[in-house]
Amino acid sequence: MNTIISGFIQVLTNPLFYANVITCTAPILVASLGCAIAQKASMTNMGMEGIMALSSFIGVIVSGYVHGPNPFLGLIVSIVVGGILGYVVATFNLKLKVDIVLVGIAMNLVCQGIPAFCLPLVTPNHDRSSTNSLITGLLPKIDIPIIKDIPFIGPIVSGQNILTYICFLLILVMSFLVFKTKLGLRIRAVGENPNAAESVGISSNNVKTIALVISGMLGGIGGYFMAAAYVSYFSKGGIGGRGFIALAACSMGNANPVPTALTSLLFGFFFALGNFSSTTGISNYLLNMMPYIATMIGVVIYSVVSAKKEKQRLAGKKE
Amino acid sequence: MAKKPFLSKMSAKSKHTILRTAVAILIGLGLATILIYTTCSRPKTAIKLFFTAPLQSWSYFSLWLEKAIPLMFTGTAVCIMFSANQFNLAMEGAVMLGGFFGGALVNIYLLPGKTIAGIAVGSLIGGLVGALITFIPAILYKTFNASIMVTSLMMNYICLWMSNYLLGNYFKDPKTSFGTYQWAPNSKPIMVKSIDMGNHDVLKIYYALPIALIVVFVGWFLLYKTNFGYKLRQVGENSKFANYVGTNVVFIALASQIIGGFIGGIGGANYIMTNFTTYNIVDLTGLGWDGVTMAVFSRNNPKNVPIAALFIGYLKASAYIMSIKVGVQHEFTQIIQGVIVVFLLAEQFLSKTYRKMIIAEANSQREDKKEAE
Repeated sequence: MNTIISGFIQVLTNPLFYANVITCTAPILVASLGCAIAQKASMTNMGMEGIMALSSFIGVIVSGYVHGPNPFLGLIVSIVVGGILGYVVATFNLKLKVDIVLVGIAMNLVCQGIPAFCLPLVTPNHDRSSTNSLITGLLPKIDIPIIKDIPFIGPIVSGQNILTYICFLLILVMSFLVFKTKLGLRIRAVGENPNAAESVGISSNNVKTIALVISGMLGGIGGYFMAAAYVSYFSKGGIGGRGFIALAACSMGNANPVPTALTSLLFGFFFALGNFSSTTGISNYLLNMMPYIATMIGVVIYSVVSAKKEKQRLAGKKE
Repeated sequence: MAKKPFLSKMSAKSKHTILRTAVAILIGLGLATILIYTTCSRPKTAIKLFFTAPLQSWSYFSLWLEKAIPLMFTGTAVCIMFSANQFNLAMEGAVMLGGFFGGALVNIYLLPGKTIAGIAVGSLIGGLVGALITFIPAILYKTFNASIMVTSLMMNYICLWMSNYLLGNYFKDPKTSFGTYQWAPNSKPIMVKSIDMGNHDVLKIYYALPIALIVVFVGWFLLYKTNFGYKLRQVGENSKFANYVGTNVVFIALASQIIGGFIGGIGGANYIMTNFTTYNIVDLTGLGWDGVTMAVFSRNNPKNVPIAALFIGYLKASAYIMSIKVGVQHEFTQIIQGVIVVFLLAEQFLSKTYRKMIIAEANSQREDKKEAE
């Protein structure tokens, strides 16, 4: 027991651990923001996992083939592909009337099937599980001038991947979008009461489609993070359920950008703890389980709290 | 009045359903053909394998059944849960841990060497474990109103890491890198009997097949021939109405998920006992998601599950054979599965044809009336 406690102290006082927390958080964060914007328009983007997989795959392949390794081009391609996939989800749900959750499940099947199927066709050595033989490159890391010299904080905040900073900046962007813009207002209106929104001349289908396209684009960023910032290749199953975790984070954060981001940070913490399992002396299988258990507990707590609030609100109204 | 042909007796709605199903399957198969044709170095051989491989030899035929059997279990399980409109997605976890406890541990530690008892007790324990796994998200929803979709998705990963943890720390055979002790002598799975058909061709008899068919039958009987099943479907169609007419909605919802998990767990145990002699699975099997596909294909009626399972089993078997013979990645069945699912579910798909069908039906009814007068 003592060794575990001292192991934990060792980990928790190590700035590298916190840097890892931030790295692990970024992809979940951006994907959960994607789930959140869709959820605000009352669209559950169950296909996030698949969108992340396919968009990052195409991004990685393009970045490897065009101009030698060009990770920035890959990022843009991923975002575009993600947006298109979001549009596909919207079309199947809104135009062809397929249940949104089932579109998502089908999306996951297709979007995880395509990369697996295409891998040997597009890699030089006909790889079957990852793009190892294709040089695709990493997005650069950035040192922030003054901050990098601050002890303890420096190594955590500075020296992260450029995409990590973009992911965290997106919290502000999405908050602004949802709460301060016309589009955000429309998305919220459509999500809360589509009929009321329709009655004032807002096309709920258009707004929902836009929300899903944005959601897909954010998914594209999250997926590409896993393939060009976390590691420098795409691998089958490399998303590892982060799309589903993002869905959970969004659900716990009630689809509001800041709480959603905080929840993702919690997942990032446990993921990083898993990466540091050798120091803590706890089985990494158990630590890998933690984010999921934490989600379940978190969702329960969130539900209890919001039920209480609702009760208070109703009680207040009666008086 | 002249006797009408069979097709014109059907309503426009069911005709449209059949048409949509056929078109969805055609789109799926067409896509598969295009994919194989454009990507494979020997497309003709590959296409021939894709459409006929499972019928080419007894061992390939056996492979077909082997791929279809687990789908019958998970398909029936998801049908029951979806019929009650419970989107419990923990089937992956139920299969995984059901297989680990029921399929592997029972046969290694509890009843080593006792095939029949091992299968029976293994299936039962697997079922109980599976029921527990789908029950947890269900009870969290009923008590705390916690989103069943989120908690059940998390449950899958908890089960995955739980089985890895137990396997890695407590049940690992030190001689292997990551696997339990063998529970079957001669590395022959205990639920399979091989019959030599000559020419290196082997027909395999799967004990899991009759179990799967019984499960399908019981599932169908339960849903469509009992009072409980009627109430269950009523809850699925309109839970408020069910509540007003005095059905215990909470009980039905919980029961549907416990039964679903139980069946999934049996499926997991049977899957392990049919395919393995040592448990060394490190990733989710995908059978739970296949269960969702099955439920969609069979429109939540277990009666249709065997056909759906045989269809997808056929695709999976031929894809597997193709991956060995001509090097096409077998994952492409996932693509086809997904595409067929969305087109099957797309209510508005071919809606113009549907409108024409309705008009045609109305016209013919009017003519019939005139004739009668």
